[in-house]
Amino acid sequence: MITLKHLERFYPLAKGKFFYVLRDINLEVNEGDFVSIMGPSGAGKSSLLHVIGMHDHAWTGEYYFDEDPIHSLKPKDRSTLRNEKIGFVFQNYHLLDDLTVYENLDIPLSYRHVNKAGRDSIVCDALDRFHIVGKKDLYPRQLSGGQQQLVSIARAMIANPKLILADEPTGNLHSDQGKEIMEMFKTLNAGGTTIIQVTHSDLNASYGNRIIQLRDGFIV
Amino acid sequence: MNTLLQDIRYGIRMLLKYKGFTAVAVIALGLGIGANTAIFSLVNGVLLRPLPFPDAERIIYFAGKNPTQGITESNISFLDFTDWSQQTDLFASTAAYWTGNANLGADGAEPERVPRAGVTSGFFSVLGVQPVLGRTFVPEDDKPETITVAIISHGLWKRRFGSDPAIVGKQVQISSRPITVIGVMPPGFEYPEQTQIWVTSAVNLSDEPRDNRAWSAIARLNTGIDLKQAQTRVSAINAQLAKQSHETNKGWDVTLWTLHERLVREVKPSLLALLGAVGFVLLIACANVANLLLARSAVRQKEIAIRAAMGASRTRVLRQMLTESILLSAIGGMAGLLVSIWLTDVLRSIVPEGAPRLDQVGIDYRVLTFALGVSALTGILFGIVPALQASKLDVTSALKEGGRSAEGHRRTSARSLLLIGEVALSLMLLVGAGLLIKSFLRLQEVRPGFNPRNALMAMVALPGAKYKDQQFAEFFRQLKERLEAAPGVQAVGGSINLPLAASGYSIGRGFIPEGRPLIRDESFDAGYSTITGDYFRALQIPLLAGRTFELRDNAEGPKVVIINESAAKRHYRSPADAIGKRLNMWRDDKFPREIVGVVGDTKASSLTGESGAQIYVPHAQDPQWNFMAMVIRTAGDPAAFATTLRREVQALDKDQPVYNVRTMDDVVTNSLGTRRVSMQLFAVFACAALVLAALGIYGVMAYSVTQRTQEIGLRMALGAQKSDVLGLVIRQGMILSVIGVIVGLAGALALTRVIGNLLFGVTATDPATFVAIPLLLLFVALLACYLPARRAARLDPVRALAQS
Repeated sequence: MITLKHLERFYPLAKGKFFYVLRDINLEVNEGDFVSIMGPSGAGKSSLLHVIGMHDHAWTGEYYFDEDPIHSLKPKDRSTLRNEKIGFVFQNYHLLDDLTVYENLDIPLSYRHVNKAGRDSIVCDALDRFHIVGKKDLYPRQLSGGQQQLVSIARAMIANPKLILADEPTGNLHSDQGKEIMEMFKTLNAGGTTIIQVTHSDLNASYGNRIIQLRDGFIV
Repeated sequence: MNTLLQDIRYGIRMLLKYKGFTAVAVIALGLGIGANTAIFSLVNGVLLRPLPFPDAERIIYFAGKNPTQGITESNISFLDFTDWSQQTDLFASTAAYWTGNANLGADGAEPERVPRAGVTSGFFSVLGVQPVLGRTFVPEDDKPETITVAIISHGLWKRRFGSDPAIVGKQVQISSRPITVIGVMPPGFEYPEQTQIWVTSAVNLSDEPRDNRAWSAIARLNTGIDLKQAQTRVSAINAQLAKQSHETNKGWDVTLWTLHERLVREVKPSLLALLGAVGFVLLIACANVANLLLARSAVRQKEIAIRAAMGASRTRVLRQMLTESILLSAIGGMAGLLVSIWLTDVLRSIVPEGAPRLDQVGIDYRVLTFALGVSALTGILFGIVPALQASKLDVTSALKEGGRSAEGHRRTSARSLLLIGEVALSLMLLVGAGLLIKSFLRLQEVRPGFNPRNALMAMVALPGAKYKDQQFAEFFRQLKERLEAAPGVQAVGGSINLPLAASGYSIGRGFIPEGRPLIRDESFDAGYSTITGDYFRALQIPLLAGRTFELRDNAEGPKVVIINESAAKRHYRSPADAIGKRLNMWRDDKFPREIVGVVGDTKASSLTGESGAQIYVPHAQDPQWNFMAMVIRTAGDPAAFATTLRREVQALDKDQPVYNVRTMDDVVTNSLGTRRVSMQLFAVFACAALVLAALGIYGVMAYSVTQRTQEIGLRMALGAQKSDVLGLVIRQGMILSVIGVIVGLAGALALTRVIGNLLFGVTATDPATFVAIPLLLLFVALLACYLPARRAARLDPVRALAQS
């Protein structure tokens, strides 16, 4: 599903020098994988996630997603592909504070030009699926951390992506809530969704089937 | 559409959430849009709205000129007019007219003086106006030197005749003559000059001199003929006339105007300058709101990044942000419309009397469209920079908590540029206002040549049907004696024309010093005044040599004349040298007059105009004039003597109205009217610009201090003193302000030329203004920088560092 060849991400420094955050990354992720990226702070975990998530375009090397050569796509085409195939879950949930739960789930669909009737149907299904129907009119600040992350996962899944990218999804949660979220990921993965998570937790990593260790930008 | 509604819904929610921001922005925009809409309603009513006549753009006006004699504006000759009128391929219809006043009375109601016009029969056809009752004039109505029929205005019909449906055919007393009303014009029709009664022109062609340039003329162009074609043809006729009638037509031509342009020519430059000025204020307000939005978009980085991460395209983010700013400007626009309704009323009340087309000023579809357009444009204008900044956001950086990104610097640059723009625009406006204020002060220093304090004027016009020549003179002599007897009255006099055109009448005549040939080319033009009583004492015009008129200067006495200083200097060595010399009035008198006195100059038509030569003749020796502008010099408040004046006039003739009663102070004030209003509005807009610029500078510096809290804390921890921090912040703000001032100075140098024709006694590049105004602006900028700088200097370094 994902192939990275000699991928490098760097920031230019003064006097023509560069600071590398990812170096010579070669990686293969298959459909249905549940991959955990681990490593110390500053190892380049989140950077790798953002490159895979096509938020970051300033890298070199080759990146194939379902055989599509991402490295030769224009940013606009990458965005289209990302909207079709990738969902995101963040450590800080990143829900829109001024939108209700319902609206937070609705917004990715509206960005994908789904019509109103279609959006209503999909959002209602998601509310049901994630057992948050009762919360649909609440604002994020009215939910617990676990509930917010649940909404965040529901939002990531709303457009039915093939791949979920999760950046320390339980980092801000109580362990019980964390466990609940990880169970949810496991269920989604069992349903066929590929998941790549960044985590510091061995326990969380144990939910996946593969661990990638990063150190100083290199896969070790 | 659905997603647009979603954007609007979210936009409303955001505006409600940030109530403080919304309130500040709506107030700034409301005032900016409101002021713009109000000034536009003036521009619309006066300049844009067509005259209320069918195909009004085809109606033209003939303005006389004689460049060789330095005459740029003059009425026209009726005989010349008849020659132009024969060009039927050019004109569908033509009309000549004169304006004046008439006494309406002897019908039981109080006598009153109403504006009257004498028009040729084509007048209403040129304007394309039909009466609501009766008919207009036909050629047979126009009899030489006889007026028997009249048409009245709708207003007069309603007010004076109680909307009598049977008014047509009835006789009314106009200037003591029975005149039959043959028609009533529709509501609002009062052309020219608020005319209430139209009578026939009564021109006597066989007796009309070709150089009697006392007429006005209008025409309706045929379809397919434009102004330029008509101008070429009429000028060719005038060139021919100058050859044929060299004595009367040498150098004379006309300028053709569309009637609309003619009516608004004097106020047009002021109105356009004001529209420009108020537009600047709105631009400055936009820059301020844009700065606020930029600050807010910094706070909203995370939200925008999430939206982008959720799949929002750059266009979609841009649209969301622009929807919010347009929503804000729409609310500002609605507030502005309310402000403009109020402000339009205020403007109407402060615009001096006599300003053209004020009745047309109001809120119509054009004004509403303007408000809507300005609101939308404003929304885009102040929204585009923050929206573009937001849409360029680096999602990866923004989603990292506490990440410092390049966007911060870009946003700072945008804010700095907006600040520079704001300062530059403010400077341009302030320089414009400074020049206008200086002009106005110079204008106030101009001496009119008389003392306007404690002087009252009033017009009295006697009906020709009731009085004749010497009776006119006798009436005014008696009136003078009666008024002088009233307690508190110090001196009484009168003239057919007062300084500053206060009587609404002026006449020029040609004079030839004795000894020169009595031909036109030898005559010099001077303003001509027939005066009565102690005119010079009443106006306190100084006597420089000789004497003023006395009772012995009557019809039987030697013919005498008084000239002013300009006339004396032009033809004699000194005022004293002029005394005893004699003058011939070219064509009007058959005898010479002896100069018995020389008086000081007075400003004939306006404070900005030249005094010019002026000649005074006693009424008893030129008694044809049936009207006088009486002047009373009083011991106390002159306005209190209006009743006395009316009482004494009506004691002499109970049917005699008194009109145009004003203090001479009012006359002087009104002569500055349009300039004063322009100056006041410019000053108000400039103050608004200064306040907005100060707020802008303060906002940017305060935000910058907040952003640099950690840096400032660190500097202080490393040993920076309060003065260092103060200097750091003030330097940053003042560098931007100085750049703004430099840009503004360049702009002001280019733009102040536009208001060049509104200035008086000051050049458009007046060095003092161009030095003082930037210093003032920099001082205000310094104050605006000082407050945030003081806050920065008081930062606790430990807490500042902890915040990071």
